[in-house]
Amino acid sequence: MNSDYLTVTNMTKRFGATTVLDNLDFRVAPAEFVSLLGPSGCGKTTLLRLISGLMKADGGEIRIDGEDLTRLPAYKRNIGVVFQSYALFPHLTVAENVAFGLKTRRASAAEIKQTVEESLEMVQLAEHRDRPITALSGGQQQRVAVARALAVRPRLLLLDEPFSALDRKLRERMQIDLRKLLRRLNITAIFVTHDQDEALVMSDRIAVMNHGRIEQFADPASIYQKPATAFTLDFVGQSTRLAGIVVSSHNGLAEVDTAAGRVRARANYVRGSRVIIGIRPENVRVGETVADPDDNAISVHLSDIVYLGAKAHLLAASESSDRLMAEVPPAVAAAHAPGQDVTFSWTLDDTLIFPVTED
Amino acid sequence: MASTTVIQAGAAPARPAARRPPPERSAALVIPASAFMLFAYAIPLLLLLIASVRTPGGISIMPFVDFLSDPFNWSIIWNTLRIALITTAVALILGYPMAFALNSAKGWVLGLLLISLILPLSVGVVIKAFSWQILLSSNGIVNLTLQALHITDGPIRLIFTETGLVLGAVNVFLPFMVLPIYSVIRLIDRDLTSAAACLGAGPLTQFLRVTLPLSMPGVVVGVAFVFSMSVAMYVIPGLLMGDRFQTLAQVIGRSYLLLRNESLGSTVSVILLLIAVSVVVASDRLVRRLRTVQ
Ligand SMILES: Nc1ncnc2c1ncn2[C@@H]1O[C@H](COP(=O)(O)OP(=O)(O)O)[C@@H](O)[C@H]1O
Ligand SMILES: [Mg+2]
Repeated sequence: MNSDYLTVTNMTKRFGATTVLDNLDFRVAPAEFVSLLGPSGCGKTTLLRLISGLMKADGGEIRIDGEDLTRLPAYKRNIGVVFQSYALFPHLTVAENVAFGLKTRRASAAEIKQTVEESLEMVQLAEHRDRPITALSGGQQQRVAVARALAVRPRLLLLDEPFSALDRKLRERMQIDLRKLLRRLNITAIFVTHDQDEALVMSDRIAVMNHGRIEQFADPASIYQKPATAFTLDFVGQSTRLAGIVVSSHNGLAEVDTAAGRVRARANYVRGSRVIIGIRPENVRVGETVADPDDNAISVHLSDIVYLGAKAHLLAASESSDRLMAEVPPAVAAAHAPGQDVTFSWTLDDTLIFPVTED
Repeated sequence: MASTTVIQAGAAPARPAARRPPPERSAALVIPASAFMLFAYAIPLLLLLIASVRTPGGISIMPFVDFLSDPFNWSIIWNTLRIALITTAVALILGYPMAFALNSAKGWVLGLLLISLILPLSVGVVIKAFSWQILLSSNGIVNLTLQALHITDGPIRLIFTETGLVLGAVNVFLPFMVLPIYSVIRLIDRDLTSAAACLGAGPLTQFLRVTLPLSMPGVVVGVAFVFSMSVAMYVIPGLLMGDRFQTLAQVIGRSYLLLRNESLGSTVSVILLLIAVSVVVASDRLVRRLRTVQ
């Protein structure tokens, strides 16, 4: 993928003694939809503010299409921003909000009128054009914010948790609508969220952020199936997570002692290394005979059964605080009961292994 | 029953929702204030209105006609209005940037600024006016400073001039301009100017098209405060201008205290009241109009 429409290099931002962003590198391809996914406080908003020019970096460079924007103030960057609070002008009507950026660019009255019309059409708010902002619902305000940012045809659109204030049904519809709209307009967008489902549904690529660093930057399937770090494993999707110590490792096969039992994984580690074993619940089989002798199998004591509609989770507690989790159809779950002893098994390829990092 | 707690579907039922006091009880809360307003303002105002139209020949608007048909009285009205408008304008010009300074100040600087703004309110108007008399005198500090800086050659007359009066009045009324504006701009979401910047607005445009219009409610309140106080001020002109300079408040004071002419005093009081109320209402209307036009 041609990955050099937006390039952020060596970006560093400190607030007093705390370093919020540390030498961050980040590249986005033209017309790509990228999500910044990470827990609250990890620096997502800070990164957006640096890219938009609302905040000054302590080091690093920002380029769009080769042009160095690092020293330009926000009002000269032509980067659209949708704020978490929407930041709509309360003293203006819907149409006036959308026209704001066109007026600062001294567009002609006819052009303003036409672009406002088109922009509101685009977000299905044409009939609300003359209403005051305060008369709109949260979802409508959100759409005005998007229309306002897009009306000036920005060369990049930044969205900071734009759907976090909306209820779930509405949020899911807006996700699809926004994605379609941006595809149609061919606009490059960076979307901040702390909601993993949202990131998985919408993104071309996801940058998983933690403590001001990008832990992994890949397409949604890779993020979910091949998490690069234990943090990504935890943050995206559900998983069994077992802390363990490598007791032997040769020919790319490591044997790990965990509280739940001996587990093998494809990796090379020094003996005695502390590691984390991860298994996605849908990869775990319950109570079946082990086909391949290399597969992992441990017997567990079921502690809970959780029904999630179309599927169910069998949970087993180990001696440590680790929890083992298997995903099964509800009918299978019904055939089990807490307190029962069963075998959980999974293939070697589905066994994820990560070094333990301090933090 | 209005106070029944309704648990909505999906809402956590663990804790009862915060209850509002029932309407009859919250109505009770305004009784003391209403009673005070009734006895301290409404009834005296009614008496004043009655006194202003009572003539030996019965109820009549003749007192107003008489007062307004004298050209000398018009010069008094014009004096009053002019000084009040200039004072309000100067207070606004000085106070608006001050409110912004307050808004961007933090920590102890903010505390210091607020104290220096609020503490002088506890010094009585009479003391302040006397202080200005001393400061503005021909060998007062203002003149000495101007001469030391070679801005003027000799002492200039400040005391008993309108300039001196405006200086003193602005000093007394400035907090009533700054505080309402500050309390409004403090609440303006800072993301709004950021949003304007991202839409291509430079600092000046951000101010003119976002901050200024959103701060107008504070400006209206500040103008209403300062105008209504300076149109009715009595002690300050008395001490900084003397008897020679007539304002409506002076006329009222003289009619009641010196001339014992209650009819004249009440008539002029009502005129003063009407001027103050109409200017305050007009400025509010004007701002609303500007907003809808925008
Ligand atoms: N203006 C600021 N001054 C000091 N610290 C800040 C400021 N803005 C953000 N921070 C700190 O930087 C970190 C990252 O913040 P932010 O980028 O808002 O996180 P996120 O958007 O991922 O939740 C947080 O620890 C926050 O406390
Ligand atoms: Mg944030």
